[in-house]
Amino acid sequence: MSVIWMQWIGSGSVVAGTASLGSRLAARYRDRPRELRELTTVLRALAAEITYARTPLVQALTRAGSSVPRPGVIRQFAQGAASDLKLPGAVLEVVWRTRVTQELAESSLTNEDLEIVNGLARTIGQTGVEEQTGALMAAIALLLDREREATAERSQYARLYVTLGVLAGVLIVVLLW
Amino acid sequence: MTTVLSAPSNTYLSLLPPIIAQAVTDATRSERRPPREIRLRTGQPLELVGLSVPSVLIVTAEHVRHVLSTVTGSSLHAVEQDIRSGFVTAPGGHRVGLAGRAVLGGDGRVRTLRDIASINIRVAQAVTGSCEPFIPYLIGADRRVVSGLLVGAPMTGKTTLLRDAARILSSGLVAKLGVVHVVIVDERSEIAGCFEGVPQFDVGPATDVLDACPKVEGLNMAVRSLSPHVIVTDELGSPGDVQAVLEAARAGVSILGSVHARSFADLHSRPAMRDLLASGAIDRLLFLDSHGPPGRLLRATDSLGRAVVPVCP
Repeated sequence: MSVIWMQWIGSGSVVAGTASLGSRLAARYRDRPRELRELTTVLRALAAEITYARTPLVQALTRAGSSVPRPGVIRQFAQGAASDLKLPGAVLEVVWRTRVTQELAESSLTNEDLEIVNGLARTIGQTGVEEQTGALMAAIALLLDREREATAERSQYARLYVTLGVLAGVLIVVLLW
Repeated sequence: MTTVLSAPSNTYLSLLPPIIAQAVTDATRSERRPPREIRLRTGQPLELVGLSVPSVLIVTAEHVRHVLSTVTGSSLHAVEQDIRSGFVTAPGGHRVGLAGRAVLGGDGRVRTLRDIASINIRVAQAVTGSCEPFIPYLIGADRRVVSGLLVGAPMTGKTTLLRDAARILSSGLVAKLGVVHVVIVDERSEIAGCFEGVPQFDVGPATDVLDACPKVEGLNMAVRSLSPHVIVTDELGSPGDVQAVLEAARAGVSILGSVHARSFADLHSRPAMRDLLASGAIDRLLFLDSHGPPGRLLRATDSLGRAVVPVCP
């Protein structure tokens, strides 16, 4: 009797384990479109601050950060960069790259997404208004394309990974039974 | 006795890339005084004006980029207005001159600079006591501070002297005057070197600073609400400035300002200045020596160019 119970409990935990692995993989697909969207929101706000208000970057980044509707890694990125930039002798290029590797690397964004963001490190705050606006708009366009792709991938893969996780667990259980 | 203090906690060092900051620190230590100017030109050796040992360090484009970011707070777009007027003020009150390729706007005037290849950081110094020889000329017969202008070529120490004048007057160091309420209208944040509104230089205990405030508006604001005895401000020149000075003088406030000019004839060749002098609002012109070390009085005259003798303090 007790052996049967043990088998059931064991099988249950195997399925739960693989299912959670599956949903963790799915989460990367699920969160990426939202994070890409938040990133374009930040860059758009930044472009507006620079182009129309000529706001110094510390303020511009703070405001761009608060334009993200919910707290998370993207808002943290913008506001963290702003607070780093306040330190004496801070240089945007260094601050920007550090925050990309520290914060954005923790997100669901891919390395190619981060490359686009990193590409701005030598432009923002260091060139004339038109160059900055141009670079920001180009980055926004690229990120929008990637957001579209990511949304398509989400509907394909997010469910797939959840299902795969559960099925893999069931398969292992069947083989071991 | 004058003592040269380096700028508040050496704020200019934090503007430089580490390798250049180290070179400046070493040079400062071996010559026991800070440089007056730090000049960076892409591909050329670092130049430290005011120190005798030449530097062998070659400045790279990357160094210039770094300094450009630190002096503008990584916000070149926000200081375009300043660039048009020729320089930006870095945190700590250091005046930074930039040279590069001019970008013209639709009206054919300079809009901004790009491809910036050389940077000149003029280290703001507090030279305590430097203005002492000037003070006797600024005391009027009725034991009040009279209005005066410091007249000199660039790099003759005008801003440093104004800073020290504010300190001396508002500390009550002149027995005849007692404590003088001073307002500094610091359009370029150079005189007091304010950081978040608090002066980083010693400008005296009875001094209020209108930081980053346009001169014309600042002079009016000071007269209306801060009831100063003396208003200190830098670089008078435009007709608007002159109008504001006249306005303040009519309200019974003395003005202590500076003007870019070499001689009385230079001053008179500028219509705005001519009007100012003719109005009688200025009592003293203090001409600075453009040869030799900065901050030396060449001669003192009244507004008509006649030599005056100092009142014993």
